[in-house]
Amino acid sequence: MMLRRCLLGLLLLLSLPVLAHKASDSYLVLDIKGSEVSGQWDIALRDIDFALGLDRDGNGEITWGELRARHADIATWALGRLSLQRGGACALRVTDHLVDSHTDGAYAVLQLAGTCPAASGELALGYRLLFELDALHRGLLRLSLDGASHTAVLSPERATQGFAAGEASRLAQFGQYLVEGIWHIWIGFDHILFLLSLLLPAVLVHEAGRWRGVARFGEALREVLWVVTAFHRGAFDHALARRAGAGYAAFAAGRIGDCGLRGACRRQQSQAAGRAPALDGGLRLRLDPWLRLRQRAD
Amino acid sequence: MTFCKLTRPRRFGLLALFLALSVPALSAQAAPRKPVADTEVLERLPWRAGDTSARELAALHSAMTAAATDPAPAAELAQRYFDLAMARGDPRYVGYAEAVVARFGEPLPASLRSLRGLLRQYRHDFAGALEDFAGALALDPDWAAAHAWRAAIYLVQADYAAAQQECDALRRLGRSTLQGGCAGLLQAYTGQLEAGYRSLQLALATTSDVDKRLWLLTRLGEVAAWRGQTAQAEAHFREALGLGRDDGYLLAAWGDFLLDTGQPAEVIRQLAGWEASDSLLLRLAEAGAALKRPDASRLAQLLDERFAAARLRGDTTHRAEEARYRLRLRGDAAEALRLAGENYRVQREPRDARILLEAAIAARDAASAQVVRDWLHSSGFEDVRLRRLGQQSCTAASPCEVAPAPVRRIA
Repeated sequence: MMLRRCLLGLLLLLSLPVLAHKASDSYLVLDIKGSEVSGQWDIALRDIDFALGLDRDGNGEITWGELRARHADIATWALGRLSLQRGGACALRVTDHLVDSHTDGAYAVLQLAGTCPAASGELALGYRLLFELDALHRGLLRLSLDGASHTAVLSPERATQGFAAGEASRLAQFGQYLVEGIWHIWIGFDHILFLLSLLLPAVLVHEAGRWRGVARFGEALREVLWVVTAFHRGAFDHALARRAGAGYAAFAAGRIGDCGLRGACRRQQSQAAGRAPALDGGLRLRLDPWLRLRQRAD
Repeated sequence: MTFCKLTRPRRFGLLALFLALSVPALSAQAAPRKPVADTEVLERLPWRAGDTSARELAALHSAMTAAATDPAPAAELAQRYFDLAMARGDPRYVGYAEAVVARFGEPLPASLRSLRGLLRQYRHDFAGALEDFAGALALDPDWAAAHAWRAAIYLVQADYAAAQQECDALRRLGRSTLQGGCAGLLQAYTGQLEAGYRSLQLALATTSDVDKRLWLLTRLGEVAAWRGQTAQAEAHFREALGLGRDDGYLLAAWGDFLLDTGQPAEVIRQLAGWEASDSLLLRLAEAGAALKRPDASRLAQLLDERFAAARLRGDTTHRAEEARYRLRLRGDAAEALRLAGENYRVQREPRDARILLEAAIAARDAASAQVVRDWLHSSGFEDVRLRRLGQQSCTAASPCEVAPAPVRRIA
């Protein structure tokens, strides 16, 4: 009985994360390949409520039903405040509405798709979500433009930004992947040790109660090739599976692809997933006592 | 855990269960999902039961839109937003206030100009803020708030001659409470703790306004603590808390006092439920670490994530707190020193001086603390703890000297 109560308590603790006070951010992830646009846009429900009024019954709570009823309005409102230009204005649409949780509460997740008039050239992005209501709002953009990554903070002062198309050649991209891959394996000591432990039996044979080296080089080479190929195929699948799951999560930390075999990634993901809150004004409160001494309030 | 008592092995079992559950719970949160039930509550808006502020704000908002060109309702709404941000430590309201002010084109009337100054200082744009306050005063020389805010900024910048002029202006305007607060703090920062304490007490006697009393009592608590009068300081803080108003600055100062007087358990008790506010989370994390509580590392991790998220936004206004976090919770003296040094270029109050000295001592870098020793020398600031830190910071350097101050015993 008591144990059950404790378990219940633990579950309650788990389901009630501490929500930080933070300034308003939206998280915009765009992937543009040629003229095709796909992406995801996370906007805080609290911000949408402030702009459009979601809490229809005025009880201070926003339900899925209240949100669902306004999906069309939300899409029109949001898309009217985002513009993409590549050889002219790109047509964008919201393909699905989901929800997610970030550090400061629940977010609407708008899944985006669209097409641009041109398949190459510079991309111009204009962003003005919430600026007329909240001057401290920021759009945190992570953009993949023809495979090249860009990040930007969109603010009222820098609401329109241009991004040069990824001119990196395929060879250069391959080189970058190669270097990152080698580095990734090198910094993971466990990778090396694991590989070594797999490779030892390839060059050692247990015979008559003792270990001896294999007789011919060819024998060892064949074994080594098998093991290394299997290892990397496994690692590749693993990375793919993680990537699919991590998806957006890895966005904010900008660490997509570094979630291979080691646990280090997990923290980055949870942080990236937006549970990492920003600072609240509390840290900047030092002058606030003066506030109370307002003009003509004496 | 108050809701259940467990034997040791079971407790470990539960801990393991908790850890096992917490990982999927976190990752489940990370993935966008589609709720099933229309009745599922996704978000609770930030007002409490019986809270009238939402209705008040709505009324102010419609008053503003009804009179689109009239700055008076806009100024009132923006001020109300700013007050809310300060009480709750929620910066979204600052953004709302700024957007309200931005509806008006130049030239702004004195009320909005002064408000914009307020919002600019919040972002640590002190030069822009001073310009706005000067502009407001040019339009209305009796705008006392502009003088008070300029004094506050000059105190933060350690420009005491300029702060003195603002205090004088407040005296000319006959604003006794403002003037008493201004003069008291100026004295306290410049080697006259006792006189400063008396001025603040006199100012307190001039007002029955709850907000002003809370502010003056908070500062009296700080000054008493600098004087080493622990019991008196605690009495001031407790009286301020007894007024029953949410106030981020008061709670942070109170938390620091409790940490400095070796009462971390009291910090946990008093600041419980304030983790959402980063400045208070810092105090909670320090107290948790001092008590070696099991959730100390979680709190530190939480702070780390908040600093990371602020960097993502390009926000650099929290360097003093981040320096404190680096030094006291991560033991990273070099990074703490870098942050404290950058902060000190912008803000030079006693707390900024203190973290720079502490970081410099930990990093064994006497030269970086020279600016603070210079300030201790020129201001004559009397806090015994800070002067001792000043001495400690210069053992490795020569010539290195902190001007002697009257020796007081810590009560």
